[in-house]
Amino acid sequence: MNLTAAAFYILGGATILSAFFVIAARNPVHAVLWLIAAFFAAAGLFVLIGAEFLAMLLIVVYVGAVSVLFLFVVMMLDVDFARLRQGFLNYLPLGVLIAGLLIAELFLVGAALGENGAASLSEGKIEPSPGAVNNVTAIGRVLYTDYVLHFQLAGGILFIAMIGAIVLTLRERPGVRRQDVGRQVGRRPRDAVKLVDARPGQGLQIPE
Amino acid sequence: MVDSLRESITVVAPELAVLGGATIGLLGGLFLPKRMGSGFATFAAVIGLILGAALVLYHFQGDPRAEYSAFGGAFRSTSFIAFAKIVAISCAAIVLLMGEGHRARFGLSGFEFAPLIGLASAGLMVMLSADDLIVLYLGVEMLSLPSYVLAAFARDDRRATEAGLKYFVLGALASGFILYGSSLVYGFTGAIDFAGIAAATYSDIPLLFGLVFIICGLAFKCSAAPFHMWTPDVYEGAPLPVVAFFASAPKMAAVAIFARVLFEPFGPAFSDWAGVLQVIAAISMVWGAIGALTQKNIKRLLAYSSINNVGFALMAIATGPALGGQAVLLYMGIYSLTVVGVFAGLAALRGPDGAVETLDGFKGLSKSRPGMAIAMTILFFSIAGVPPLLGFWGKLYVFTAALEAGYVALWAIACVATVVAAGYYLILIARMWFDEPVVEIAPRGPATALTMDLAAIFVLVGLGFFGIIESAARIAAGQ
Repeated sequence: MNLTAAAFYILGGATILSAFFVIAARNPVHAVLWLIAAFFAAAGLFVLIGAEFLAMLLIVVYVGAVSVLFLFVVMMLDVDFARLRQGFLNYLPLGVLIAGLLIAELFLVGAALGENGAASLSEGKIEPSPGAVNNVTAIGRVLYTDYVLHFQLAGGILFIAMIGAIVLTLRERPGVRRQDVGRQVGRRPRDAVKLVDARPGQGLQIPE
Repeated sequence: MVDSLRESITVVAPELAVLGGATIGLLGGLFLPKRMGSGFATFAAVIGLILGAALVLYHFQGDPRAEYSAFGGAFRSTSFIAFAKIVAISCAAIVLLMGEGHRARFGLSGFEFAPLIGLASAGLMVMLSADDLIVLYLGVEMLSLPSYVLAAFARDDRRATEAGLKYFVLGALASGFILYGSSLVYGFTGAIDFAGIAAATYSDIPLLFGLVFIICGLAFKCSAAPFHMWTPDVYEGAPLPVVAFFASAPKMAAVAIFARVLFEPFGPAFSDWAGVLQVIAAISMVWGAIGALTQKNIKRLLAYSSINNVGFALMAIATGPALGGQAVLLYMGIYSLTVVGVFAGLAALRGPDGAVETLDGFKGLSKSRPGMAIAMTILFFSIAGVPPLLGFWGKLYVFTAALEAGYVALWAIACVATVVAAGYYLILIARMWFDEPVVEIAPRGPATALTMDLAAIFVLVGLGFFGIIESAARIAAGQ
């Protein structure tokens, strides 16, 4: 067994194990942490197949942003996870059926691969590796040239999503105190501070 | 690369104009004083749409059969696309103009309404012009995202919020279908551009799997049965001007891109998808006709009516590009413009407590508002397909195409569905003319009523224009 195979089995096992604990963990925060572990292991698998850009993307986007979002949701919203899980057993037969189907499909794909070799599925139509340059260079070469329209459209969609989120959630509340920098800076000490000669034993009457 | 980029940008100029109008409108709405901002946003968005339509026309003024390709074959403009674009943008502009002035009544007082419609229109133009699967998906999303927001725009209204959420969840699922199908197609052809897919072989069963997924997703987007579940609920919950938009512009675009995806990349697989389309068309026609019969709410009824009408358009697509290309453009073009008129009429009808939404509200309309009753009658007759009116000619072309393709059974189903559908339009018309009024109807709003009258006149004297529309659609379909 060479080193790559060993790494594959370790990372693959770690992915499956963490994925299992995501659904088995009682504490939802632990479940999210296991999810992050699963992402890390999957990123390692991506590195193994030579997709280092995807691996980094997985860590930056999923671990850095999505999981943190999950953590926020889990910690900030008062969701009773114990009650959510109560119906779990009722759906078990359906879940087992779907899982069985998926496993059967995986075996079929594996059998086809074993029979014809990996190249047979796409018949060499797609180049799996960009050749001499690394992933990032290869993507960078086409992203802003051949795919500039796609890139800009994706930016447009993000813009629309931002507008949509603002339209649906921003409310103008009356009576909110906002910082007024001009007023703050323009305020002089003598407008705000007053020296009063307070005598001992007597209270102070503050004039309005 | 520089020169071709410049050329590419001239090809996408209409989209840029629409996008620019919407963005300038947004900025204006944000920075201008509140009362001016909302009007300015609408104004800018409408100018953008008109400019976009003018640029599309300009591209095809010299040679209507010209074809433009841009961005290395990712974007394409032909007269087929241009026809659909112009109809869709016109519908969007009309919706914006008729809604202006009394949007607050529908909970649409925010200035973002018009820019969102503008952005959705830019999205549907991109979707129509897509020449590879990624741009297709991006266009679909660019149309869908503003649509979800528009459906929930009246966010204090529980039904509108529900409509928005429902639309979002189901729409995301449909987008997932398109994506999954696209990935399968890419995996088995190694190409994402339409020409490359068309050149691939069609013996692969998994490739057809991908095609079926794409068909499901697109059928959802144009609300064809059995993917129509969201339509009645979204139409019922969303504000009226928004529904007027949903029923016209995106529908025209979705059906046209449906036709393009099947005709162009999957053209060689015609014998494989024709049957699927026939089944979807038959179910849509029948379900749209039967489902409408029991509806009490006019918006739900029109939702089923639109499902029914999309069924006819899909029947035209099922006949293939040579027979159905012109028919599908004609049918959807006429339907979209008519349905904008119908919704303008609905928006102008105002009872004592808000918009008239029940069918009872139409009782005795001929006595309280005779002019409006006449216009609505003409529009409903046209959608039902009563002879001298424009809607009849659209149906005629679709039916002829189906017969020429030899789909006798489907043709017979379509005939029955037409008769059943005519039934509920007639019930509506009978309520207007033969019942006593039960709901007090407020005076008509100016812009909406004008739109409806214009639409009615368009449908009535459309025969005069029909030659122009017909030849435009024929040229557009490349015949």
